[in-house]
Amino acid sequence: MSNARFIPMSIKTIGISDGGVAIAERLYTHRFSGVDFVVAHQDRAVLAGCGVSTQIHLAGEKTVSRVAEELRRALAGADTVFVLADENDDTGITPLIGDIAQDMRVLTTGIVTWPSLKFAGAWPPAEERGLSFLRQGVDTLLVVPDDSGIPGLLNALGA
Amino acid sequence: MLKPEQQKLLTETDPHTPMGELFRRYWIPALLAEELPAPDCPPVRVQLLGERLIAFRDSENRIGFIDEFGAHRGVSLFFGRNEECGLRCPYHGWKYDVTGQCVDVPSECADSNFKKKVKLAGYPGVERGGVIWTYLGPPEKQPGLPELEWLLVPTGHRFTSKRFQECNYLQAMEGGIDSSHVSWLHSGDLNDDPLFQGSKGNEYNLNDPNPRFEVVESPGGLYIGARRNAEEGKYYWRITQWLMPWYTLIAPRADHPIGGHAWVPIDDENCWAWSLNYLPQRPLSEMELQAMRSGRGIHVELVPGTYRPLANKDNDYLIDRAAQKINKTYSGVKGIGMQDASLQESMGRIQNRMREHLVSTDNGVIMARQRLMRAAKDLQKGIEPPGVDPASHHVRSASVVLPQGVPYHEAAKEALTAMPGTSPATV
Repeated sequence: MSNARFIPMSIKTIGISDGGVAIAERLYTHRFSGVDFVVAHQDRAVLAGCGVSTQIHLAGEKTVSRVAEELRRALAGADTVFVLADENDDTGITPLIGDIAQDMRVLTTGIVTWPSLKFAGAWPPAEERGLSFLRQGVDTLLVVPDDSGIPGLLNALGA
Repeated sequence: MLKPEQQKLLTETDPHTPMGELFRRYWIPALLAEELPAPDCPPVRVQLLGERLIAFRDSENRIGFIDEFGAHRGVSLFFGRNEECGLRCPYHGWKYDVTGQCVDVPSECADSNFKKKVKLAGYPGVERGGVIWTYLGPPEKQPGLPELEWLLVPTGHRFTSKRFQECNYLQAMEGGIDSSHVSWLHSGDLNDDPLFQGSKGNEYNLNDPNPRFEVVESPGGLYIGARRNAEEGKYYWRITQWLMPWYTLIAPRADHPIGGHAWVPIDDENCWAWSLNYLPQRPLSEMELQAMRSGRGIHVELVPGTYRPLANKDNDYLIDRAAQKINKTYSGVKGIGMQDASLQESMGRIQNRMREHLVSTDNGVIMARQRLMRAAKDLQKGIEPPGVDPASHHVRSASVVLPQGVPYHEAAKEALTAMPGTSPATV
């Protein structure tokens, strides 16, 4: 039996757009150890109603470099990054998150909830833009019918 | 990392455990057909999900799985006489039919009804695809027979073997789900094993040891796409399937057969590792069959007359340090099947997952665990398990090269559907 010392990994989880922010907020209430939550949204009102304190406002007037800087600060120190989204979300920010994670030399996992997967033969359509952005930005993409398994997934990684 | 209660939930499959109850809702591969070759042949001891049973084929070719121990004095019916449509205990002559019903108690009066009051636990047995299957769940919930593609191809198109594996089923099955180890553990064999060599996919595997994954939950399991760099602007995808509750399907290479496994608990500390190869479109060649029989590919060489691997924990799997040193085999253990089994057994009888440290490339393993735990808990609440409908078996594994940006499941949709007689998508 291994007695190796292992410093728990730091997991940064970022919820993007409406569905992703909602998932992040639900997970936030679990109070995982070693998991920091971030939410990113274009609408300041959505962020104001969210309990997650690390917030990035994706305002139209902000430059990409400024958003990138905010993301970089929010994700600093992560050993692995999770991006959370729902099927209808605007995931256009994901490639930027992926670039930053790559600079940080950490792997990124995208989790997108897709309720129609509960039905036999259902697949997310190929032309779906949200998924396309996620694919560009993450190393691993998990497509699941709902977010019920995410707490267990974070637990499995040591949270 | 799992909590103690999660570890217990996932690894314990005896009767009345949540996972045991879940697994009892599926047909179980129990024996190779050759183990019960003819009516009235010798009975066989079978242990599944912690239950000790005796399987026998009666005079009319009916197969049954009944409690190993007789109702009278608890004698093992392995020593019974299989004769005239029943298995007779050699101690006092009590006889049981394939359902476990006692049909004769010779010491009682000839017209006594006593025998009708005695019944052992009994489960159905069905031969399909060269395998004898049983179902240990509630009779009213018995699903349709499995329709996995390898069971439905003509006899000459498939080869099935099994090996006794000395560890819990879960760590064995997780090895089947985790395809990222191929670039390391099996690197010495990809271009050497007759059932793997000559595939362009091997080059992609060996040149890119950092696969990226896309895992999609399906009604009956998971699609696990592993992406590696191919030529400029293209990705090599290996798409494996995990099917509830214990099947893994391996993506094919070149024109070699499709592979797969079933990881079936014997008890909490041992399992059967079933290994299968098949081709939908043509019979296996004599060369392929010979390679499989001699333990190449995912099959292993066995101690004659048993299903225990010749290379096993008692001889350190015949590790060859010289072969390890020169990278002939990455771990020093010969053969892809035993490379997997040796490391899975090395974790201990039941891997302590409170001490593991998973990373994001283990997401397929994590998701399969989640799915099993959820299904077991749901069943306790009365929610029927996923993947019992044989229609959920109509899938295939595949390997394809696709332009970057093309989702694998869209491009390979047809390739991931079992279609009798058609060639698999393979690179």
